[in-house]
Amino acid sequence: MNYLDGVVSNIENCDSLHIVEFAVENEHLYMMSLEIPTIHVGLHVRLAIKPLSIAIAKRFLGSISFSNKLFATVKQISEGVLLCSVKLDFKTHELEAVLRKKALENMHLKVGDSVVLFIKASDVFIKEVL
Amino acid sequence: MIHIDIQKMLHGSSGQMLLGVDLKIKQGDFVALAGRSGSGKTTLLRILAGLESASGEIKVGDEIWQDKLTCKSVQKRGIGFVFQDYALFANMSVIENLLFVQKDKALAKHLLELTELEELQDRLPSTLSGGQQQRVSLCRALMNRPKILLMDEPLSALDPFMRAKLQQEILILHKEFQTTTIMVSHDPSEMYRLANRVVVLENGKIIQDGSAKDVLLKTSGSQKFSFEGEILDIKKIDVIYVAIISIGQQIVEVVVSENEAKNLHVEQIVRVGTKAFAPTISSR
Repeated sequence: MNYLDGVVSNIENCDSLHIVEFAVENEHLYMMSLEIPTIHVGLHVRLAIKPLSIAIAKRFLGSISFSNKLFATVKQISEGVLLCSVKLDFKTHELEAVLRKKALENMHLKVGDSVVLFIKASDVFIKEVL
Repeated sequence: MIHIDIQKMLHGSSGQMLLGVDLKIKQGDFVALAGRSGSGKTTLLRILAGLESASGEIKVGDEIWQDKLTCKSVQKRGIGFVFQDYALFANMSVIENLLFVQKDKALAKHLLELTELEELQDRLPSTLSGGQQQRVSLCRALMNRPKILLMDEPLSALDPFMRAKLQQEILILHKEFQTTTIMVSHDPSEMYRLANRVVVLENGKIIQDGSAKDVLLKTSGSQKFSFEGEILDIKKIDVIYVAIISIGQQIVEVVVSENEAKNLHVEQIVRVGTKAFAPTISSR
């Protein structure tokens, strides 16, 4: 599991549906969620993202509907049979993405590459309030 | 308004325990009383009914049921009681069971209509199914138009289908009679369907009190889909790990990463959760 600490910077809502914006290392992360009674702007939280929910793009051009876009560097690659685990450095935080090995090969992904990470707002959740 | 403020020392399996409850209930409310076995739920019902003594006060509207000086008898309290085991008079027919409480044929007929029991009115309880017997018991409890209806796990002896049907009938009766109701229950779906307020007791004290959704929805952070389970096994597959977890009567598998797997072990009790967006629903 990947964890990033952040502060709630904005909350949009429509009935019980919320889009919460977090400031994380001067970047913005967005989370789609149903009502959270205790949330408010300024709240410090630990966000969590599953490794399988992170997509990696290299030399990305164009637009994409994913709400969350983080710039990172590939630190380490562990290859399995069908899958691989890619450790990434995002502003000194280590994140892990798990993807198909085929994708790794197609992308010619290697240690040191600069990449963009994409995460859907519905795949981000609050692990705990700090 | 009903105001219960009672104390009683109980001798439970884990030693002495003080049952101390201060609870205000609005007229017409449907309150579910939840909590582990031995938390004092049934004792509280019995104290309300006057079947058991306790110190403190019970006030129902303007009437004092119990204080330092007085203690109203069971018969004078105007209580309807539904037990898990029906407790019908075996030698009386369905209609006689109802009329024994109050000689009000019109009300008895109306109640039997609402619960679809009219055709069975001359049968003896022993010839009825469990669900039918509990419906009779429910009707009987309403015959004296009680100020409070007390139900102690009324549906726990019934199968899930009959339980759902009776929940519906309890709702119909509650809507029609607006009887303030307190029901002991262990079943979250039952509490959610019937009660507008859930009070949880633990070791004789109220530890939670709120709407069914607020009390029963087990959340963890922003995750709305959350269950408690026990880890049975953790397997490494390729570069990921799969935890096999038993939840209720089911076994589920959850993919975890290496850093999570390191902190988990077999037999550990864990909370399995996901956001409300991920699960899918399909009919059986």
